[in-house]
Amino acid sequence: MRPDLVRGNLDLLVLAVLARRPAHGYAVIEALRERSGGQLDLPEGTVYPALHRLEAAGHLASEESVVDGRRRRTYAVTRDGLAVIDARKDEWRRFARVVELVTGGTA
Amino acid sequence: MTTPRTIAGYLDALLFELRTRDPGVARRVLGEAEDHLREAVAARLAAGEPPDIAEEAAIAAFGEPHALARAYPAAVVTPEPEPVPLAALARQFTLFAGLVLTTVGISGLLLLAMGEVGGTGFAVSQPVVNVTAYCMSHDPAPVGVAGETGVRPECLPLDLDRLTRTDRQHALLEAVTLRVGLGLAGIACFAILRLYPHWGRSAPAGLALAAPFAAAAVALPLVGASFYLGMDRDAKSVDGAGWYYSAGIASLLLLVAAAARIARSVRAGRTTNPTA
Repeated sequence: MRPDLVRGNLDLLVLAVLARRPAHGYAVIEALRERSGGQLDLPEGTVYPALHRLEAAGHLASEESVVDGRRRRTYAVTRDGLAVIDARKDEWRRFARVVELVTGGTA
Repeated sequence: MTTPRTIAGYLDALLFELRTRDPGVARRVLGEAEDHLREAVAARLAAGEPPDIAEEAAIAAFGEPHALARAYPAAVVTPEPEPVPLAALARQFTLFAGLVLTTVGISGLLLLAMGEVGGTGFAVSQPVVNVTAYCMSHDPAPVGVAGETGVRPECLPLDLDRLTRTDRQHALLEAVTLRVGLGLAGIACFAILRLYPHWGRSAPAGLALAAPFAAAAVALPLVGASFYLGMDRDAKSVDGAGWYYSAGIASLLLLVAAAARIARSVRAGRTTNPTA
């Protein structure tokens, strides 16, 4: 899958992963890989700017803990973030439908 | 740029790439990157990869340091407003005092000249004198017949014209002495600024330095005008007019000097020290 397509929707993907359960960055990437069947292949570091951006926007909250002697930051979706997920999902469905219509698909 | 092959090397490179970012953001990104890389290496080791291959692969999967750093906007560095040092304020005060006092000194010289040209009556109005008190108590070294009673010679016989003339001369002398003395103090202020040219120069410059010039130039003519036009009707007459003219002319000189100086600064498009 083209990286620019993934990057353009990374915020929604990250929010959707974290809506299931709070996780740290590495676990988010693992979940993205698993749930996409390995199709989401982008530099793993790119998820961190997305996490920080979403937290700054109030869609995520984070807290730091110490795991195996290392500091680890765990992220969770806020109520605001849940609302954003719903809105973005609607947007995505409409967009996908439009793309299908224009390109002659059957959706 | 070559991607570092160890986690430590990668973190060093990332730290370098984040050097223009907010320190808090940089610290957080570094911490999370290290946690991520160590966990990724551990997972690869657990999957049976050799340690060196596992570390390189984890780093490669994480992405280039500069690409990660580029995702964070550079910190906007807002310089702290530099506080005005006490020395700079003292310099401004000295400059202002020098301007004002020197102007007063010039007015003293003008007053002296007016006294010479127009007479003491033009330079100084008649001071209000209690004749009895003046004649009986002012001179501790009596002469002549009056010597035994302590009466001043100009009071015997009572010569009001002579007494008035003497009073005016005394008043003129006092005024000139006072004004010139203050002028010397003003010159001393400028001497201090000349002796210590770098003292207090670090903060305000340019038109800020012209401010004392402008303030004095506005204030002194107003003072002069208030003397001449304002309260005392006698001041408009010839009697004692020089007292006010001298102050007004000196103020006007300062006003012209200040206007020329500020205009030159504006024309040059730069800021300079008016005393330079």
